[in-house]
Amino acid sequence: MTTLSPARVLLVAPVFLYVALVTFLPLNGFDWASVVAAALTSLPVLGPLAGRRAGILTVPAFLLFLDVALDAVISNGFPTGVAASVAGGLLLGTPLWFLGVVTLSEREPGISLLAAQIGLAQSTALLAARATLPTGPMGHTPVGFAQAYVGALTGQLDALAQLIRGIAPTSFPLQTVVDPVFLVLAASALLGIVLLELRSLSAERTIREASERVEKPWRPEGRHAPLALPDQFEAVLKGRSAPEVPGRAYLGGLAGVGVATLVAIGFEAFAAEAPAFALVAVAIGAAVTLGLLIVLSAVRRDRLEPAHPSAQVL
Amino acid sequence: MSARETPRAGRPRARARVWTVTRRGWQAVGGTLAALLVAVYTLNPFLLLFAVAAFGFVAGSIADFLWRARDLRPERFDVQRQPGFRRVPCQTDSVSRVEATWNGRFGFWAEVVDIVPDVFTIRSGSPRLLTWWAPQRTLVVAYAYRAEVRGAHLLGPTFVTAHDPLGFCARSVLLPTAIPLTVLPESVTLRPRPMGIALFSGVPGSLPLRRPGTGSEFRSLRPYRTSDDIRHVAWKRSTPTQLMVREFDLENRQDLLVLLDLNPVMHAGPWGGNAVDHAVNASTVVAALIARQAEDRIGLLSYTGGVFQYIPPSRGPRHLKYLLDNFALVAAHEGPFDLGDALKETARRLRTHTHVLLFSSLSEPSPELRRQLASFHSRGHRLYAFVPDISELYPPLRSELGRGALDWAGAEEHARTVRAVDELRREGVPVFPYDRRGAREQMLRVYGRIRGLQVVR
Repeated sequence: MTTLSPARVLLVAPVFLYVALVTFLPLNGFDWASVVAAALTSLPVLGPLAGRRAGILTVPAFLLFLDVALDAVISNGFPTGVAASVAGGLLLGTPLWFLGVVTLSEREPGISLLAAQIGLAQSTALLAARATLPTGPMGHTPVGFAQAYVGALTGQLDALAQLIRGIAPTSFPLQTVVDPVFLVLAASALLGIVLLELRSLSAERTIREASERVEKPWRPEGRHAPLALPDQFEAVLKGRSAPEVPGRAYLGGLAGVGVATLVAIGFEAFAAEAPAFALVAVAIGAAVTLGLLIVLSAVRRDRLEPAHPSAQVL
Repeated sequence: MSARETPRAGRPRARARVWTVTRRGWQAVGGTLAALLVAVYTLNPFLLLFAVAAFGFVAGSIADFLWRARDLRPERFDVQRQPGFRRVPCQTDSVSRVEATWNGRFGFWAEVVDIVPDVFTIRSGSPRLLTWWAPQRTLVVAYAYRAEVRGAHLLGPTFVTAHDPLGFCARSVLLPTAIPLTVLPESVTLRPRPMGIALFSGVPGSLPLRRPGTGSEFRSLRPYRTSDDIRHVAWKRSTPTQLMVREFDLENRQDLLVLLDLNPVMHAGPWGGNAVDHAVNASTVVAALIARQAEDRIGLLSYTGGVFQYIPPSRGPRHLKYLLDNFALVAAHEGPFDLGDALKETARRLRTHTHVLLFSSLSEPSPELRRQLASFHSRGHRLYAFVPDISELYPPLRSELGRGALDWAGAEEHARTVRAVDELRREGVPVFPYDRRGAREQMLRVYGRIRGLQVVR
């Protein structure tokens, strides 16, 4: 069974559960296809019970998406019939799908952060769709919800296309979603993903690569056996250092949190001052930061290894 | 001791670059950049803010580590390996201790790993330490190990890997703590049992080789030399112009020579338990006995495609140390083993009658064997052959897979060994086959016969 940190689940789960709930509650007229599709899509939530093969639980959602997309291409428009119901169920299950992926990718913070961010974007789209449910008998069904969702996405794309062409769009459907509960829960989820990563890790991979460079392979797991050593040996062993944690002066990974706060405040201030250039500033900032990281993180190997690895006490 | 910067002989300095950001770090950077793109698509100010903050967090964490680790170099450490044993007997526990002090300005999460050879078993402690390393703090990595295989090994070097708490960055520094370690054959530490006590007797055994010396039994008369003891002059046989002295047999001092076949066939068998390992173990038992007894002399001649190494028979602690070091480093070399030629070369080097203890797989034909053996015997030497039954050196396979193939190969090899042993026995050479239990008992039996002792089991 995959190890799962309860604190992480407590911080990350509420936002996705909240979105799943607020999109599900106004709907009625469920048919078997939408229920099954929603259940299959939500399967990754059960990942911790599936152990090492948890990744396979994400596959049904992809297959359902493929089915819906294929139907849309064939019918050259919005899917009809069972495929439309499947599309509705698929959308309703996506918050729980992202919750499953975020909890399962605990060991990979990059994937975890990306999944959380895409999950939040998807949640925004779902909330936008919920706000624009069509009226009429089919309006509050999964099919109607799926139509509203597609409408929100295409509206967003049209607005972006207009923006690129230099035309001021009337509205951005996803931009206007402001749900205070959702925002608070989303912030807590992101903080949970980031802060719970702060712990001591083993740099086993780096050590193995470095040891292979000097042709002395490192065996990570030593075989231990009980023994009775002479007193002199015991004295030598007793003097060995024990693992320690840093003192109060060290803030651990909180430096990153500080930088994140400063960057966020700076971005907000800049966006308030010059909203037209905010995205350009983000793009330039990201590109420059990426370039600096690439340049600064490369170190010449001979600065890390002495000319001769042997000790002087020969 | 600070790390020194001396050019590595015969090897160009590596100019390649090492990435400080780990795969996990690049994943985080890529993930947050993708999250930025997603947020830009939505144009939702809050999602954009979250994405910017997440990217800032990852970039800030990496930048923080790069700043802290900017002076992480070998020169910033004072490192010392406790000068301990440089010669360690196999299957014996020993300890290693490395002390390192970090002289940088910032602390960091450190993973200190002392590289231990694969054939060492960690018995206590650990060669690895994961801890926070504050400036000026001295870390001590100490552990007990047991060397499982004889030979030349390198203990160390020590790696210090600094990394951030998120695993986004890691930088490894190599500290120069490597020391060469000679692992001696395990027999050095064996107790010789009652045999060792009896060896202090000067009584010759049933197979002594006689040679002139200060024994008790008359051998011959010969002309007087200035170095002769005047008490040994045979006055009745002497003339005023030619003094004659009595010469006696020296039967209580025996010379032994280990003749090792280094042909690659002798390296058949599991690592640490091949035919050469067993030969070396058996030889070191006798060498250790001779060291305690201080009467006999022992030497070594290794042969493959010609004489590889020759250490003349001698005695004394210094000689024994030299011999044991060479036994520890014995290894296979390409080349045929021609027993006839090996005996010829051996006889050419020996000055006195010597018991030659041959360890060979007898895998190569020797056309001149009969003639060379006769010449060898005529010079007063005696040959004892210890032949490994290679089919018995390997432990039985646990799985059925491949057991049939191994059994077939073992049967072929066993038949070849039996033929070679029979051929040598027909020439009058005592042959002692040995298997994975080793040749120690056979060797003790032979040496006991030479010294007139009984091996007590």
